[in-house]
Amino acid sequence: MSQRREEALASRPGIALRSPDEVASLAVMGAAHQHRLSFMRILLRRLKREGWRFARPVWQLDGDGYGTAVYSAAGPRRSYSLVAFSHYLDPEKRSDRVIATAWDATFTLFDGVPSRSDIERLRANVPLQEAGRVSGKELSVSRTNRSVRLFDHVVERLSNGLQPDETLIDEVGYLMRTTAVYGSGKLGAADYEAVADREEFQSPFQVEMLSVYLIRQFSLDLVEHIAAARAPGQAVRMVPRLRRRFGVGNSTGLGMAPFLVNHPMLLNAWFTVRETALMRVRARPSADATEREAFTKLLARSLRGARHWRTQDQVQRARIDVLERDIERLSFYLAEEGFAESYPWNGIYLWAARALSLEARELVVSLLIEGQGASVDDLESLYRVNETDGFRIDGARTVGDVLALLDRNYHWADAHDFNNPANAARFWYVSEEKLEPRLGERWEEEGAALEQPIAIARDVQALRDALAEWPTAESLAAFLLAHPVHRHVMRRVLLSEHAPYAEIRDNIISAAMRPIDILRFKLSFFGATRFDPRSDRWTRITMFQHAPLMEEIASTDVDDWFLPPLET
Amino acid sequence: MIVSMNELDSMTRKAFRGAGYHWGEAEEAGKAATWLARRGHDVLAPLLRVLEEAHARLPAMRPLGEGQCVRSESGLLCPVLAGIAISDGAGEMQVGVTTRYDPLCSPLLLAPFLAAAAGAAPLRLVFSDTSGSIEACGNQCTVNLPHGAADPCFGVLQTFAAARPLQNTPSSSARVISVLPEQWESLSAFGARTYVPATAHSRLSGAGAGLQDGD
Repeated sequence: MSQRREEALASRPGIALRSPDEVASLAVMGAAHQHRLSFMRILLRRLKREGWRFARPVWQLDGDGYGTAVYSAAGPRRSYSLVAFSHYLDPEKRSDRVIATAWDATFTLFDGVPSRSDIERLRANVPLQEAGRVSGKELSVSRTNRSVRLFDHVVERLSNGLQPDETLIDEVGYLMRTTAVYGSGKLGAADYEAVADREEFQSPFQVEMLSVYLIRQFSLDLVEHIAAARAPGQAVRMVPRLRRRFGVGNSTGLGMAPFLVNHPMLLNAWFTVRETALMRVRARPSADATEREAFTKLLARSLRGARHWRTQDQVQRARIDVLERDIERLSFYLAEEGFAESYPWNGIYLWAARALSLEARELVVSLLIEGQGASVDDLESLYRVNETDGFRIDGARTVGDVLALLDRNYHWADAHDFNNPANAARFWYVSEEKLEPRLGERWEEEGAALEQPIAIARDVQALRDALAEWPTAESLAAFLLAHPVHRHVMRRVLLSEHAPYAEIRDNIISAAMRPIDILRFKLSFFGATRFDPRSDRWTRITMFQHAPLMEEIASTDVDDWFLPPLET
Repeated sequence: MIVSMNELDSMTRKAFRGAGYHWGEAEEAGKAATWLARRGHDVLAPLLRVLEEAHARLPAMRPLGEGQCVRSESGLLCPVLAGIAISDGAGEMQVGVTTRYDPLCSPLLLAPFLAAAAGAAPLRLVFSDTSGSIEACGNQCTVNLPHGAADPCFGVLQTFAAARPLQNTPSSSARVISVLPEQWESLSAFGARTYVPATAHSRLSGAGAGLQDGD
């Protein structure tokens, strides 16, 4: 990106990057939607652009669908293989929680083409997940459970020569649900750094997204295989129109929430990409008839998407109800007023920001970006950050420098009164039992002394108080030697100098905080849809629903799946 | 067993926190561990030596004082904390200064910090004690500590004008390291001191369970 170009865009009246204060609160993050710079979208564009080829070289499953399968994805430079193990699982043991010890299927993404001995080695480890070890030849480890509601239904229908019930498909949206997708060095797998120089992994989480995309194919092939084995000659395959309506489900819990706090440079990059894309679209001076028509159609599809968005969570249900009305209001507004001749996209954004709910406003952000690939797709290069840059603290900086940075980038932290017990009611910790992040009640539970260092607002206040006692010309080296307790948060404050979006600008230890707001933001950048909170701490989502299948990639538009099509 | 660099970084960070270091210091230890491991150094044994000492008497291993003499209350310095102070102070370093150090536990762990400081200053830095020396210039570093297991001894840090880049510096190519399971267990045991034991309450509420989740 040319900085001059962005500055020129931002200089137009009323058009600027939305500020971190506007977008980095939990309320706004918790209203985020998939957009065309989400990681799944980037993956599919690459697979098409580079003409990746897919195959299923190993398919050794018995009639119940238990056994081993390998899918290969071959790009212009390298191949990757999803090695899948499908197992019998006692229904009593089927749990989505990270503490589960058995699953319906387990997977690893292998770097290259696995030999027979590789597969044997993996068979001894991958089904054990956390209790096993993989090697630097593997890039991810993951597992799935079948959807009790849908998997058996689809097998039964197909084996009876019938297509599955469309209402039930829409109700659930997937055959299998991942309960963890581990990458970057987990369980002995290759570190991200080991593959970071590969063109295909420049954007975030591409290893994980490729794994999930191939798992989706496996889940579809699996139901057809079991149906065919159950009723040879009678079973049918699923029609392509219906196959697309299955994504991969996912259950995500608290573990993901600390990630965004622990990776401030990534958070900054993610916000920067999306907000710059929005600004570029808003700065387009006009829209031709095709673009207007496309946007109107997207709005209609959004309405359909909202109506298909299922959740039992009362807060989210109420938001979706408002979202449906808001989409209708925007459609009505555009039908009445028409698109402005001058800066039409900016006009739509400003109207939405004024008139609509947060859920709807953030959807409009995704819709505005959606139709403008030529203007925004190059921004994916900004996702590439080196997290070790800025790790070293420059001790020659002064106390005064840091106080100025606090005023500029951390004023939001001062808004929280930590003398009020409700504002410090929670603490984040790692559970000894299963090594998973958890959230404790500070005033009711033991363990707050072992709190994880992610209560940034509180710790920044403490830093400011300590700095206030020092001469402004004093060096940080001297300050930190005397106050090493502040080193962790000091590093963040210094990083923020060139990374304005590096912090969640909210109090994540408040009694009122909802962890699912953090999860939703992260998952929206993955490209997830149909957020279905199951409590304030974990959520179900769908990945790759409506996306083209691997056999369709070469022949279809890979960017047309954020919203369900109108005709189905 | 084989562990990835991310696992080494993360477990070292937790272990230092578990041994009583502040989080920001523990982060530096994690990065230092992977910096060394990437360059092929056996890092677990020196890490464990520091952790065991720190567990017993960390406050007394903190560097004290400024100027030409760095001491600690116990007479044994933590190399991570001494390294942090060197790295933090890089911007104010002058050429031709000699600083005397109390004995350092596991001086190998000083290397990543000397490299960072030499790159930032920019200067050529040479740390030496009777076990050997570490020389850093322009972000590169050569380690010559053949008697790494010897008893800690007094050391000296000298600063010189930055010269040409060092020759024969090992490349940072290792992507995984092989560790002895018992060493990894010891490191993990320090890390486990950051975990909170489960209670009936936390099992029910900590991760939001309690709902039927298998549908």
